[in-house]
Amino acid sequence: MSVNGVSLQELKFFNLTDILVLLDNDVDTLKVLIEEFIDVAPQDIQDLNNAILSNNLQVITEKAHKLKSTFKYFGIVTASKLAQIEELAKNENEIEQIQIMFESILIDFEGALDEAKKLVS
Amino acid sequence: MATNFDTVMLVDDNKIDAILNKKVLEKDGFSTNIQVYNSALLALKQLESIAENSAIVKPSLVFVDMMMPEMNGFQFIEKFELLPDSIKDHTKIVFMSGSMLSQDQLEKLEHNKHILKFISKPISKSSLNSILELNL
Repeated sequence: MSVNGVSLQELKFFNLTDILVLLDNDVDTLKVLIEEFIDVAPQDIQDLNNAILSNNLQVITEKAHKLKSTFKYFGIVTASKLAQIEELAKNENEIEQIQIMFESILIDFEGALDEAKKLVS
Repeated sequence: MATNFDTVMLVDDNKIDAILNKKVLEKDGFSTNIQVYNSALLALKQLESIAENSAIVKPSLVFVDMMMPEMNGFQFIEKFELLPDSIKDHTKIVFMSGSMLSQDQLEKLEHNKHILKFISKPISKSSLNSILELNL
């Protein structure tokens, strides 16, 4: 299956198998969701980064929770790391641990964002 | 699946979740009129308006997410309980979360007569079937 001329099997950062099942292979709605991802996720990542820098555990929990479900829907493997960040913040762990975990997410996020843009451009 | 509920409300600040869950509610005819609110405060205001105007169709179900800014799912329920009986007698809440709930939170939901069910996000066909069974 391909979207916008891009074969879904060739994607490295996205795995859209599960979301397409939920959508009954409705590619138009998938594109709407990907456009929303492009619009919203960079700001959410920025907000999460700002919350980590200011040691705001409440906002870290909220943003990690939101991004976790978004990453999970799109099959981005680092969703599990966001779940860990959410738990670390909830349990008031050291901010350094959260910082390290967050940095390991960024490469996958940038890759996913590039792939997302190709899917709807 | 024939259409089961005329009007349902979907309350979730996460737009991606809301689009996806709306699609799942539509695709098997669970409801033909799904009203999406990205803010619990706005959803509550709408319910207050409906209570004052009998011409507006009351939703049978309100799917409400647990974790939202400004007003979370539990705070929404507290405010819902203050609405007139005309709404509370007609409308049930389906509580949603993308995370595991604590035992305390689960007990709070179980003891609330306005909560029809707690389901995990994203909404699945099996969770909708379980709601239908409860509503029979």
